[in-house]
Amino acid sequence: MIIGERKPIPEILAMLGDSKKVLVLGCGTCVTVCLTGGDKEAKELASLLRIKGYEADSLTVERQCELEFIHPLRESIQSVDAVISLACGIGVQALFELDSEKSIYPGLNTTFMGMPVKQGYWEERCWGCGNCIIHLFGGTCPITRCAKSLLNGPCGGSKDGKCEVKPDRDCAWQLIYDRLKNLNRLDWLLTIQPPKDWSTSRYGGHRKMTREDMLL
Amino acid sequence: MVIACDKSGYPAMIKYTTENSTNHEFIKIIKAPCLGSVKESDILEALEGKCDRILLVGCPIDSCFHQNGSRFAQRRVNRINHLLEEAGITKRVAISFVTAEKISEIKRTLDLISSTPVQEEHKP
Repeated sequence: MIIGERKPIPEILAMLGDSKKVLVLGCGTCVTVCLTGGDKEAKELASLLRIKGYEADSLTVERQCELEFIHPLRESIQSVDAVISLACGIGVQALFELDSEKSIYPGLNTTFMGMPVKQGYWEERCWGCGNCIIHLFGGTCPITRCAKSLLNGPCGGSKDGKCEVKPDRDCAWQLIYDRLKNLNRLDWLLTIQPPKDWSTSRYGGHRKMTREDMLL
Repeated sequence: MVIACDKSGYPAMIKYTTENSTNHEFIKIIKAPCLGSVKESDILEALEGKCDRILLVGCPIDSCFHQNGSRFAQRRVNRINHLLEEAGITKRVAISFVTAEKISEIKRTLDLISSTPVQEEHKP
């Protein structure tokens, strides 16, 4: 899922400027699960804004990142001075595509793609590099989970199975070694991985995907 | 406003208001099944009105009738106060853990949250 963190409230207030009538728009998918941009958080922020003297209301849609879901909001958006979107950056941009004349502000900082490891704690799991090779590493992505994104073994700095860059996190290569050992495939570690082709990642520019058979 | 759980908080508040007749004219007491059932949005909604201070009164944290209700309520109160502070709002929420007999904590907490002045918000 996409993880986001709410922007500091003073930053949100500064973005609102002279706006009086505000709509706080939550998203019912990823940011609901990471407890930053769902219905509950949208209601809380709207409530805080009302205490601050704004005329604020809140709404939540199933997914802000799809035009089909946000089309019904067009009238609600047009009736306010500004919209604070609690969706990820995709949702905010979708709102801009729906109504390019409205002041729409991001209420969250989109931080990473990850998973809830335990209650109230999320960790990054995927960089979206565009060429998945997780299967070669026993299900642990070294691109994401190794602080140095090393593909051919550990850096030598890990201690007690922990990363030297982020000591509170497991060393990805320790995890890879342990899992390949469990799979009885330690021999895979002897294969030299070629330098990664980053052109499939975001460094290759704005990416797109097409399903020719689905185009209208 | 006081939100009190019906196991410890409410009986304690009744006792407190009976014994301190001069202090409670402006206090509205709301009974909740457990402080764990009081959501952040309920508290914020109450603060939107004329209510400047909210006190939650419930069972001692380690002997909550519903086990974790008081613990969850304390976390929520901390979070709401953090949100209010971050937004520059001077309204505050406090929590007091009592038994139906030991009510001194109520007066202490009420005095504490009443001691800081509330500033009126300037409308944008």
